Amino acid sequence: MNPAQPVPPVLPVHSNLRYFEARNVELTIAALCLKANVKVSEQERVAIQGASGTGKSSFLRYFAGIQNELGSQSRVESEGELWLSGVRIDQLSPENRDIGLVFQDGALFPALSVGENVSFGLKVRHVSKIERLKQAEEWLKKVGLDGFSGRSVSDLSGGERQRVALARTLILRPKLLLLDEPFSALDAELKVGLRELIRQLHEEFPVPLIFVSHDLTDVENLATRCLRFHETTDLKSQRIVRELVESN
Amino acid sequence: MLTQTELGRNQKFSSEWVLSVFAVLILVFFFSLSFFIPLSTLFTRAFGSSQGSLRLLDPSLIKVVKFTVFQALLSTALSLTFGVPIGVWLGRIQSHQSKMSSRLSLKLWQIVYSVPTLIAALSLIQIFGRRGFFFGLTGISPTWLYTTSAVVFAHVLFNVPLVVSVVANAMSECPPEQSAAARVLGARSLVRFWEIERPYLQNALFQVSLQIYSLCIMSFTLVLILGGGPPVETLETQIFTHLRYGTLNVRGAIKVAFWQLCVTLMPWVLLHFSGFWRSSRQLNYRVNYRVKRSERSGGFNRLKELPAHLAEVRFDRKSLVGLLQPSLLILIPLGVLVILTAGLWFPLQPSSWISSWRSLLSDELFQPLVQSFEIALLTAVISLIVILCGAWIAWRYVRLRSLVSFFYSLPAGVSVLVLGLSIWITWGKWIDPFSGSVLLIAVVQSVTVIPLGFRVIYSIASTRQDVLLSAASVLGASRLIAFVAIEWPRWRGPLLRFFLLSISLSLGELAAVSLFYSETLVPLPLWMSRVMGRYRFEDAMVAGQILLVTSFLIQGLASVRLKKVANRELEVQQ
Repeated sequence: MNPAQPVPPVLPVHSNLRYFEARNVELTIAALCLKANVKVSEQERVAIQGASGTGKSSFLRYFAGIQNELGSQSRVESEGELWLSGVRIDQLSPENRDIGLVFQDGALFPALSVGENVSFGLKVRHVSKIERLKQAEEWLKKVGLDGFSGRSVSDLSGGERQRVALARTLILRPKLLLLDEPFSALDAELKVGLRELIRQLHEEFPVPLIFVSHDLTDVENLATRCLRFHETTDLKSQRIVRELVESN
Repeated sequence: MLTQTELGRNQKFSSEWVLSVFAVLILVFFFSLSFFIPLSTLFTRAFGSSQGSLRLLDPSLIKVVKFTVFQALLSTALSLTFGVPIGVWLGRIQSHQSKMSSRLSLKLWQIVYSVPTLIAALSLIQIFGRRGFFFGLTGISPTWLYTTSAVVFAHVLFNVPLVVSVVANAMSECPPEQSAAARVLGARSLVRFWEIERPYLQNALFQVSLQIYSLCIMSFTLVLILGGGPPVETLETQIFTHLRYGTLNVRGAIKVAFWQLCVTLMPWVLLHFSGFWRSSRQLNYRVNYRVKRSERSGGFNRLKELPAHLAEVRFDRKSLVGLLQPSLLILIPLGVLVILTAGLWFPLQPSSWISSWRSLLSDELFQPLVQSFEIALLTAVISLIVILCGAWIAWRYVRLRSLVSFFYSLPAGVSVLVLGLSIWITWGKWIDPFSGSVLLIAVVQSVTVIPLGFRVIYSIASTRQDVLLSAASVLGASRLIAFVAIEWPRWRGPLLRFFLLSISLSLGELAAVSLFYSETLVPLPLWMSRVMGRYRFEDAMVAGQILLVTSFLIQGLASVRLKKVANRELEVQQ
């Protein structure tokens, strides 16, 4: 495939399947312009692969609506449309997008226990305490952390943290799952285990899944499709333009 | 012939041990003479007679105690009410966006906090006095100046910057990823604050509340000048009245000082132990997190920004908020700074002010200025030596750290006047307080600035560079040489800054000089309060202008010097 050619649509717009689509998305961050035209169905696990600092995570943050909340020096200006199962979401606040995002280090809340972290999303949705605890226990079991509910997050290893973050996200049954470098802080053995867990959970709860990774092994072992950046320079504006294209 | 190990042992004995023994001796000598012996004398004298406890419950004294505590609680509550929202706002901007406006705002708040209290009191009189600017503009003569309201107002103006700084710093410890994660999980602003940000704040808030309460209890200058006499009398001003105003009443002063110690030491003991409440596991998690964040942000931070892109300003709702926010961030602290200093720059009688400048600089003001600098330098030298000794022991002997830290935090719970009185009754037989003593003033001021300086250096001394030190010792360096090569570059910047800061603090300090002055020893703050008492406000303004500019210059110099040291260290690291 020609690297400069945009990704062809996988699904028709009016499909019954859940899907996510980023239409003509353009992110401007200082002298850098990131472009994407992506469509992901619930059966797919799409990887965005590239070196550190190329802007992979910026897309995930933009999809989640938090592109300007993470302390970057430059403001991210955005254009384009985001569609989630027929609903346009780019105008919605992050709280209302129904998207799950797992951060690189899990971004667990240190003041809350493991169980409270997992059930946090249910708490803000006013689910009763008994129901919250029950669901948290179930999800901790699913991610292989049965009995961890009362533990402090600071006692967890890197792999356990990622599992808790995954459970915290999936307990809400999001319509789109985004994973930001989920394996980067893990050793090889833990990576294999977590990749397998993500694959199993995705098969059990199909949802469009996009993950970011700089490691080709992660991409080869987990992704059903892979996107990478094609870089050009816009001579008129002197900007570096990176466009997401299908990778072979 | 000595082996390398034996040589190391001998060097260790000759250099480190001598230094440690020397440091301990200085500490024991200084703290015994200036703190522990005087305070135990005060306690002994307070319960000296069989009726001692009855005299302590004198109804007129209890009334003053109640008023002191009331004004301190009110000032603390109001300072928190105004300071916490601003601090949270500033902290969020700092943490999430790290804009220049937020950094500038924080600097401005720090400047506000470094205005000498005497200047603030003078400025408030010039603005809100019976014939001040406010009267000139509106024709209304404010009646609240010499009342409780004026004291509380001044306390709030002074303490809001402290609350803002502490809250903003605590907020910036909360990684933005956590707040963003909570948002993606569906948490609204209030829930995010309560569930995610509050845990980072609560310890800092508890500490700053106790600190402000104690500062307001120990406030002397503002109460003396803005309180206006008996209706607004606190324990501090009563001690001063018993010793230096009217008839000398040392026994009366001791009674008051005992109560003062009770109401100030209690929160400080609480504050000290509160340091252990913070869960270390949370801190560890935060440290890991922050390192990862800095690693990740590298990609975009290296990119150069396009001026054309930045120049593009669209006046939609977001752009207006974007413009309003930085403006408010800077305008609010600037407004507080203006209230605290404006009265100095607009004389009500310009001609009289100009003649004051001419006459004062030639003779009357010169001596107080020189005496103030003498005291300030002596204070800075004494406190620096004592802090270095404590830091050395904390650095060298890990087991003694908590003990050293505890002893160094104790003086923060004792007010200048209580300490001064204790020294007065203990050493008064040998050093006559009425003949004026530069040494006693400097010692009292040193003891009161030591907790502040030690807190800064302790954080460095307690994080020893063990790996680098071992590397140096493997290369044959003695511990002392390794210390000079590895640790000293980290220590010298903060020490220099503290040295300059203590000079600046000492220059504007009134309480200690009010106790140990004489007719020939009248330092600048005392001279200012005297001429204000004689309604020579233009003369006081001139002295205030000199004091303020000197204070700002010294602190500016400290921050520039610190920046240079930091840059140099950064270059070395790179």
